[in-house]
Amino acid sequence: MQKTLKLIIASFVGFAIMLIGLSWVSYQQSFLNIEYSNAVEHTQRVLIVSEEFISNMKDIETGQRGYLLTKNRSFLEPLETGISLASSHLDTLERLVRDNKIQKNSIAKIRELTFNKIRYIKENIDEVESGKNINLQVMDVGKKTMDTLRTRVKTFQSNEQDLLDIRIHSKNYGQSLMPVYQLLLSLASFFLLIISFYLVNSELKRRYKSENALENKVEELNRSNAELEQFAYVASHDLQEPLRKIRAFSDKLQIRQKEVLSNDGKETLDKIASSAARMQTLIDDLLNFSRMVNHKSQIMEKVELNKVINEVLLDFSDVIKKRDVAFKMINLPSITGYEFQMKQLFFNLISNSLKYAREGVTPIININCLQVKGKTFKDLAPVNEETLYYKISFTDNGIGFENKYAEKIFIIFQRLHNRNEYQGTGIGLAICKRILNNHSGFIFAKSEPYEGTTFDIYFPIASKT
Amino acid sequence: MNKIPTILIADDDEDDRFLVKSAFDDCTVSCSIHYVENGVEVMKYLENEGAFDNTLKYTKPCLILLDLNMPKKDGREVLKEIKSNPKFKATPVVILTTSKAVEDVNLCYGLGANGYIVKPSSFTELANILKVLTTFWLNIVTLPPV
Repeated sequence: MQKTLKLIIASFVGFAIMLIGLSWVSYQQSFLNIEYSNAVEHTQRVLIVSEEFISNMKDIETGQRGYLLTKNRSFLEPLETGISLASSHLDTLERLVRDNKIQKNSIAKIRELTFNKIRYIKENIDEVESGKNINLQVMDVGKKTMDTLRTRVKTFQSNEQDLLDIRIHSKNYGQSLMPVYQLLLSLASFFLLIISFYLVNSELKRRYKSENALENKVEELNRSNAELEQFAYVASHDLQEPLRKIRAFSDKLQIRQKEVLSNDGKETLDKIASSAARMQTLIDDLLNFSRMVNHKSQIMEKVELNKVINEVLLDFSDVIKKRDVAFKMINLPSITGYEFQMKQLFFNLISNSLKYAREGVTPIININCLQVKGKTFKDLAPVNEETLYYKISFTDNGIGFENKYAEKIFIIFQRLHNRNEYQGTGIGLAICKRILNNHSGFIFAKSEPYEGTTFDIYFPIASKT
Repeated sequence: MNKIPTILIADDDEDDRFLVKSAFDDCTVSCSIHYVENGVEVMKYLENEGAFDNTLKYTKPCLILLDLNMPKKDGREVLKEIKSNPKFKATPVVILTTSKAVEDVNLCYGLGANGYIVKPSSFTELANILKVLTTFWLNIVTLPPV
C-alpha cells in the first residue's frame, strides 16, 4: 500500500514538473513572439519614415530647381516647410534606431549630408535673389551631395530591410512553434489525467476489495462469537438438568437404602454427591461468566461505587465478623457502567482476599482510589497516554502468590492451588477481567508470597465534553 | 365431603415424575395423584376430553403442580388458559420448575400462579417441599368446593 502511494505521488510530482516546464517554455515563446512582432512593426516604421524623408528631400530639390529656372517665388514655398520636416524626420529616425549602432552612425552621416545640402540650396537661392549668376561650382557640389545622400539612404534602407527579413523570419518561426508547444501541453495533461486516473482507480478498487473482505471477516467473527456465547450459555443451562438428577437420585439412594448400603457404598455415594455439587458450582460460575459476555441487554448507567462496595460488604458480614477483618477504604467515585457487573467484580475481589487470607493473621483489606493518566500503566496495556482513569486498588495481607503468575490468574479455569487447599473454580478472576473489558478498563495483579496481593483496576473517566 | 382430593401434576420429564412419585410416598396426606406429560394433556384432563373422559376417575383437581418447559404447550400458556377460564381459575396452580429466571417468576405470578417453586437438587429437599405443599393446600387452607 505504501508502495502504490509513493508511486502515485511520484507520478503526480513528475507530471506536475513537466507541465510547469512546458507552460514556462510556451509562455516564454509567446512573449518572444510579441517582441518579434513589435520589432517587425518598428522596422517597417523606420522604412516608411526614411522613405518619407527622401521624398521630402526630392521635393526640396525640385522646388530649388524650379525657382532657379523661373525665378518664381512660389517654388520656394515647399522649401521652408520641407527643411523643418526633414529635420523632424531625421529626429524620428535617430530615435527609432538608437539601439542599432551602424544605423545610428548612418543617420549621423545622413544628417550631416542633409545639412550640407540645405546649405548649398540656400546659397544658390541667395545668389539668384541678389541678381548674380548661378555659381555652377556650388550647383555641382550640391548635386553630388544629393546623390551621396540618396545612396546613403538607400544603404540605410537596405540595412533596415535585411533586419526586417530576419525579424519576420524569427516571428514566423516562433509562431510556428506555438501550436507544437500547445499540443505537447495538451498531450502531457492528457497523459497525466489518464495515468492518475488509472493509479487512483486501481488503488480504490484494491481498497474497496480489502474493505469488503474485512467487513466479511468482521461479520463472520461476530457471528461465530455470538454462536460461541450462545453455546456456552445453552450448554451450561442444559448441563444443569442431568446434573440435578444425578444429585437427586444419589440423594434418594442414600436415604432410601440407608439400611442396606455398606460403608463403602455410602462413601462412594458421598463422593458422587460431592462431585456433582462441585460440578454444579462450576456450571453456575460458567453461566455467570457467559452472562457477563452476553451483557448487551443490560444498560450502562451511573453507578455509585460506594453504594456497591457497601452492599458487597454486607454479603460478607458473617465472615468479616468471624475473622475480625480490618477494612480501610476511602470514598469511591461514581462511574458509568453496569451496576450488576460492578457488584460481581467487587464481590469476587473481596471474596478472593477473604479466601486467601493467612491463618492466624487478622486480614486487612485496603481500598484506595486515585485519578491517573494512561501513561502511568502504558507498559501493562495498550492505552492512550492522555486518557484519564480511576485507579482503584484492592490490597490485602493474604498468602499472595509468585508475581510470575500475575497474568495467568485471569485466564479462565486457571488456578494456583489444589482444590483440597482452597475451594474455587478458576472463573472468578476471569469474570473480573471480562467485566473490566466490558467497561473499556483494565485489571492487573501484583503479589508477593506471604506478603499479600494488590489488584489494580482502571476505569476510563468519561470526558465531560 | 369425604371425596379423596385429587392433585394433577404436569411434567414432561420421566425422571422428575419418578422422583416426585417417590417423594409423595413419604406424604401422610391421602390423595389421588394424576400425572400428565404436556400442556395439551393438562387442558384435556381438565375438560375431560379424549382419554380423560371418565369423569369418575379423572375428577377435578384441587391443586395443580405445573412445570414450565414442556413440549406442545408449555406451562406459561397452560397457566394463562387456566387463569382466564371461569371454570378453572379458582383452582390453585403451583409452578414447579428448574427455571430460576426472574422473568419467569414475575410472569407466573402476574398470570395468577399461587406459588413458584424451583426444583431442588436433593431428593430430601424435594420430599420435604412436597410434604409442606400438600399439608398447606390440603389440610391448612380452605379450598373452593370441587
